[in-house]
Amino acid sequence: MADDNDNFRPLKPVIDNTNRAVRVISNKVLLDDEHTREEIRRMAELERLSYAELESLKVIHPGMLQAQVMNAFRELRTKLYQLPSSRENFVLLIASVVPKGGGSFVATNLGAAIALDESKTALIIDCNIYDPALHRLLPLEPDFGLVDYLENITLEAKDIIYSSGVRRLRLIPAGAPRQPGAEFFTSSRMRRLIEELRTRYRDRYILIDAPAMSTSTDARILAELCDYVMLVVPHGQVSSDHIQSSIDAIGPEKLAGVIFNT
Amino acid sequence: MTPLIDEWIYALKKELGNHKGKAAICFAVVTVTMLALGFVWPKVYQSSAIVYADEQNIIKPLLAGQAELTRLDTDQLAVVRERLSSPAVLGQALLETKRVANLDDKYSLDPKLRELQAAITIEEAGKNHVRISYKSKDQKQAFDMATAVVNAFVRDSAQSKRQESRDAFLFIDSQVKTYKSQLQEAEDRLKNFKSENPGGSDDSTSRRISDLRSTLEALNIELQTARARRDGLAQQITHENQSIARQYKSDVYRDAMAKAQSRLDTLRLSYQETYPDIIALKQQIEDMKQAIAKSESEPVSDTTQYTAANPVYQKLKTDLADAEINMRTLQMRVDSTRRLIGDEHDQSKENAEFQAKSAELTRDYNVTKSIYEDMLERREKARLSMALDVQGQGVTYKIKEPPAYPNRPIGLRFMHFFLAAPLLGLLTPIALIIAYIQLDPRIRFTDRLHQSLPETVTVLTVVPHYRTSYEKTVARGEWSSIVLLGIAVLVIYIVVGIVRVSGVV
Repeated sequence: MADDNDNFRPLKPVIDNTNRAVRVISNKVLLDDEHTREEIRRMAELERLSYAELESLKVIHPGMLQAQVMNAFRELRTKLYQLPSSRENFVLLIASVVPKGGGSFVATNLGAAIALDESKTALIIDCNIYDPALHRLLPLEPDFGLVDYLENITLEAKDIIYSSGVRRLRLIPAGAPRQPGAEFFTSSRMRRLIEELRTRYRDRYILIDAPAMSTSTDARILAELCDYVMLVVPHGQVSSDHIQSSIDAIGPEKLAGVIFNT
Repeated sequence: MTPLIDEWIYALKKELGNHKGKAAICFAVVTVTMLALGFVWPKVYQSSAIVYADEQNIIKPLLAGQAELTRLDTDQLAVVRERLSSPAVLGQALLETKRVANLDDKYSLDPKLRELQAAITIEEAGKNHVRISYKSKDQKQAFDMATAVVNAFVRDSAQSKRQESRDAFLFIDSQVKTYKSQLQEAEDRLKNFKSENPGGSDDSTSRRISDLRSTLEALNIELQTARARRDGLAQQITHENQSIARQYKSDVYRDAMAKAQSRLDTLRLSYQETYPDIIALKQQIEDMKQAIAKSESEPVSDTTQYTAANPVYQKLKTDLADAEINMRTLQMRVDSTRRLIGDEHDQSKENAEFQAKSAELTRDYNVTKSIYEDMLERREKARLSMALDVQGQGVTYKIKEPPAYPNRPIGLRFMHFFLAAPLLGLLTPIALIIAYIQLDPRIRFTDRLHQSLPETVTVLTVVPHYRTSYEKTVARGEWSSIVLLGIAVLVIYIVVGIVRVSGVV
């Protein structure tokens, strides 16, 4: 498996060869934690982005001067870990109330904050198919994306998972831009994809970067597939009526909380 | 700094960044407008005088309690204001400054009076000091008018004070006269009443009544005694015969026989029974015995019988008559005494009425008299006060500080506008943005967000703005150009100000 890692090519999908079966077979008297660390270390990694690059992409990194941003995401991460969950990981949908509200920013940085911990990984799915943003984290244009996967049944999940420039942070880009109107997320393939991603890795937290609540119903549809939904309220852009209608659309049981993005 | 202030500053910065152009235009417009306003702002000159209300007067302690100095009201401000709103005073001032030719033309006078009144301000300047100011666009006019108004006021107040004390004197004088006539009437009434009702005093009447009572008691006792005596005598007299009846012959014989018997007894002492005289005497006695028997057996005739008065009866009768007279006399005296007592009682009743009436009249008299005397005293005080005021003593308004010729205009000057304009130009856009943030319903503050969320929904975190170094560089560049622009504007601004102040424009 280590060989695979060595043969890793940046522009190919990462072949994740750490799975539960391996862990069970190894049968060593190892603590769960140690297992996980071991496996994660063996994960294929892309060349990491430098701090300057991360900063220009507005991604948190351990060396950043604006510690309060880092602390905010760490705090958020801790709060999310404390949410009641039937599984060890969770699927969290992040949607801004209005477009350009910082949903992708929050999703990226939350993922980065989770990935700061060596025992945990995060996977961001860019569902913002009309206005994708996360592919910027990838050094080159990806071959396939989520839309491609949904349209092309020959593609497998591993084909669309890319390693980002942040350590332990994986990414599913949106794929080729599409005309609006198509209902991708209602398909059973989408549901199966989420289920597969969730069950394959115990320590992987799945973050879905959804389109803004005010522009489409996509976020609402995707919320069905998730454990929790988190609303991003941008500073000085939305009124309380806006927020209220978004909350009403999601429903109280899945809403983990609100992020105030200033 | 509290989080709220931080949030405010952040929101302000953000909005200011969003509306940079508008803010700059606002700053420029406000500053230029203010400066222009400074150029055209009218100059107003004010001349003011301080008038001192002289309450403490040298004569006051000398005349303490004797004369009432015409006192200034405690609220001098109100008094001065009142006097200075009177057309008489203001009219005089107008006349003095030749703003009007005469005070008869009410139509042309009235607007000028109102104009003058509006330009006058009256304010307190310490205890007993009042500042009277006059505002005008013309320096000379301000000075002249202030002088005229203050002079007119001081003159008028002195005059009115004189008038006041004179009126007071005249009033008290008329009161004195009224009371004098009332007093005389009361005196006359009392005099007449006393002469018509001499009356006795209550004391003497009661003394007389008690004398009469004791006399009456004594008389009553005497009367009872006399009555008892009379009754006793009357009782006795019934047992006594009025006269004693006697038979003359036998009685004569018996008398003779008694004599003969006593002679016989005498003779028997010296002589024997046989002595002739004794025998003769015996014989005689025997004869006499027979005669008596004979005469007694004979019927008694009226001629032979006579009656003799009973002396005891006579005596009793006399006494009874005396007692009767005595009793009647006493009875009459008792009656007359009783009548006298009744009279005295009537008299004492009359006395009470008299005294009540007399007291009433006396009281009237006394009250009137005391008021009259008081009034007399007051009149003297008033006379003195009047004399004081006539001679200019007593309380007066004095011009403590005459109006000065105003060299500098009051109120807002060009310099004020010049200094305030950039400040106002800076503050206006900030204030507008604050107002915009306040009124805009979009959420900029964490607590607003908390308020607008349902209770079940929590704010997980507040993500601060992630400033990239590129953003920082851009912002720094923008700000430095803004500051440079600001400095340039300020330099031009100051040059304009200097030019204006130095009088070139």
